[in-house]
Amino acid sequence: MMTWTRGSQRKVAALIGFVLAFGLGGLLAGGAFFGGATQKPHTGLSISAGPLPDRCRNAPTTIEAAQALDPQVAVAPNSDLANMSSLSLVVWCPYPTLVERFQSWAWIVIEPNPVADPVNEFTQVSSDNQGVILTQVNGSPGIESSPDPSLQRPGAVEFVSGGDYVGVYGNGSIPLAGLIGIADSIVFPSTPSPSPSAGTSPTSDPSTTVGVVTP
Amino acid sequence: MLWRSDTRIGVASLLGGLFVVLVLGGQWALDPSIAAATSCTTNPQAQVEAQGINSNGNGYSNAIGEKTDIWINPSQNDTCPRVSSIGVMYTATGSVAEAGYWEQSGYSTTVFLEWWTPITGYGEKDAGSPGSADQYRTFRIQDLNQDGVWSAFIGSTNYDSTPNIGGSLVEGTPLDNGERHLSTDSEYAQFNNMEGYPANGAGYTYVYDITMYLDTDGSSGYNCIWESYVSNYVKQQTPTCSGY
Repeated sequence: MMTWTRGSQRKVAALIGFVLAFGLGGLLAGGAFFGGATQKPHTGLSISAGPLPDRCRNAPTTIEAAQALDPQVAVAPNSDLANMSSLSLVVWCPYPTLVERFQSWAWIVIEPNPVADPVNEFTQVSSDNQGVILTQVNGSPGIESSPDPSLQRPGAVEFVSGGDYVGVYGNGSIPLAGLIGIADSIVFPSTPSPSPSAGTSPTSDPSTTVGVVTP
Repeated sequence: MLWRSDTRIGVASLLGGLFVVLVLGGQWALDPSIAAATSCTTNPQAQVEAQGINSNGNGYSNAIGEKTDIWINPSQNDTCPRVSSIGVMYTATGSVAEAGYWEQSGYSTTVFLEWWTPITGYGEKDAGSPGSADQYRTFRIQDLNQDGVWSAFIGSTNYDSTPNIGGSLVEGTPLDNGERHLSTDSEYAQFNNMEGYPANGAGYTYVYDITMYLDTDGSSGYNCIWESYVSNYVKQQTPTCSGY
């Protein structure tokens, strides 16, 4: 058992002095030099994240027009938080990626699936990112994450079904359970579109027939 | 009572520590620039972004990488952070992988990698200095094998990579970005030789042209200035990028 000697008392006193001098002093010096603004800011490219129409660079369309153009992609949910009658925005972003936003501020992004091995992909994403959890949506593989303001995470469910990659997102205030309910309510046409489509470079944009505005 | 010498050493150290604390604490309390810095916003107060477009006049939507020279200019005497960066954004979700540098108070610049997707949220890594001022440094952000891991380069050095951020950012639009976090600061940024790497493409190629992508700076004066089909500025001048 260690006993306190005068020598050790001296060392402790000296240690406290050094801590005050170089610890607290250093902290205050840092505060002085950097003014409390040393924290890396969230930069602009990410801060406007979300389905902003001006980022999509297309004019809004209707779900009916979208379904006429591509019934495989233009699917719609049927839940209290998101259904055909509560649609507030439908826009190709660009074709063949469709964004739907609802009055609840839930929003959906649907596109032909670009992921060759969804189970493996989702497993890796879940493993690499804290709070991202493997899930299933109507038996299809997926991942989900709860809203988290500290990470600017709005709440999300992503899954692959019917040849589509589907993301169902919130606005930070919709509970994950509500987003799962939206995902569960989506019914896909029986005939899936070709998959995967990773790396394809669209040479034409059929959505121009429904009012695309180019930059 | 006489103090022993070892006790005096300890007390002297304590007093010395308190002296340093008081002196620096006083400086911190009195310096008005320090108080002003607390008004810096976490999110940018203004930003100007430009995008590379294809020959058909549309923005890229299938870039799996971007390579652009960014001017290292840390002499703006800013009070709050100023950012010059490039990135690939999947516009449908706003998912983005971004590389560049940020400047703190006019004398310190730091290279960073940042990402955001709705499923993973926000992440960021700092990676040291971009080098001396008043030169272009080539930044690159890419996921050439589309495995969800985006790698950031300065010159030929891969200074960091994202975790696997998944299928909501497989490809996107190449952008450059100038931003500030205090309305009275500079938003100056300078970009040259914007190149995109199209999915299934043969490699990096110059964009066909650069157009305005986003401007939240209002009428305060910083705008997208078209310099050539592969270069642009963010500076106080009448805007010349198309897309306004």
